[in-house]
Amino acid sequence: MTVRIVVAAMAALGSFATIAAPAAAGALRIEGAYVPAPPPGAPAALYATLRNHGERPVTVVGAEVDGFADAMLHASVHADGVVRMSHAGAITVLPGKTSVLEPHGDHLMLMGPQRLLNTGATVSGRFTLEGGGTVPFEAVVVAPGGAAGGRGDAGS
Amino acid sequence: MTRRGLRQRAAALAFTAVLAGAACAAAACAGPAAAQNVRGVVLDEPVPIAPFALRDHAGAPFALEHLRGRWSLVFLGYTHCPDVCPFTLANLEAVRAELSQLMAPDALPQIVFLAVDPERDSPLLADYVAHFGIDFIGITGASDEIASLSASLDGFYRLEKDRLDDTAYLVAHTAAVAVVDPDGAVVAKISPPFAPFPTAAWLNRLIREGPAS
Repeated sequence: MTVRIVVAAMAALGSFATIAAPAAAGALRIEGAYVPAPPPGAPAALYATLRNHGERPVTVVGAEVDGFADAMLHASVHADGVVRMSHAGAITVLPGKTSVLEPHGDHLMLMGPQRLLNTGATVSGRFTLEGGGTVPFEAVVVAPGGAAGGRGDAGS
Repeated sequence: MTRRGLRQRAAALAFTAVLAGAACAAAACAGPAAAQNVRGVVLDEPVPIAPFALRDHAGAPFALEHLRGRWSLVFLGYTHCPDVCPFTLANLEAVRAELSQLMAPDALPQIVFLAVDPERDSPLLADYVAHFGIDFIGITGASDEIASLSASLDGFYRLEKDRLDDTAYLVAHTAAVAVVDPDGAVVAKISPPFAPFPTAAWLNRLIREGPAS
């Protein structure tokens, strides 16, 4: 009874999320983030591995990326030879698992570039988590086609 | 109906190609239908492209005659596509680089990007194609001409505008690359993602020996 009252009071004060968020944010690691250099004025895609080191699911609901007007979680879906993108509302990473943002799959679409991105540059941003909290990341800009020049063989 | 027929035929051929690939894997044969890591489909007969009138990224006319006299790899997409289109175009540049080791420069296929979203594509197209390959050709134009060439390629696209003033819309489109012969006919398709080296080897054999090999 006492616990329930305390939780209710915290939620009412809006402080529950701020207590829960740091734990979730600390559990999520962003590994190997990269952005293939986009053509001038065109949107870009960010790819990375999201790894949950925590004991509870972590749900990414969006992102802010410096140097871009907007960023949105998207999924490229192939069906019957046609590819279409859809807005991915959220990506949940289960405890001890990873979720991979990769070409032809889930990715973070970066829209409204405010500067040219050349190979070797760095892009900074933050993933936004359900319930509040953010996870910062830095992504390296790589040559068109993906990281390390071998990505073209990765999907086969 | 024609399109559906072609698609079904292509699907059947794809299945055949997979079977042939499995059978040939042990024997290490390397014919077009058997190439490893290549999701290529050779059509059972070339499909001629109907006349069309578009413009290239420099503003010059680009018509059926520009697809004749040499091989072409034609990919359909749009410049506001952040994932599949850049990845495919970068792959095509890697394939072209591999092919340049295998054949004379004047025999190399031209790489053509059919931009299906002219309102947003036209201002960006020249920089867009040059970003991926200095010799890449971007083409676009009137929507009915784009639709005509797309249909000849057995392609599909749809601008997914929610409303007329929507500027952040997405575009669904065919993912495959059409292989066009020097007569201006589609002879094969390649589905991404494709590994540059085996795809180049597959195309090299297709170009040298023809679709029937």
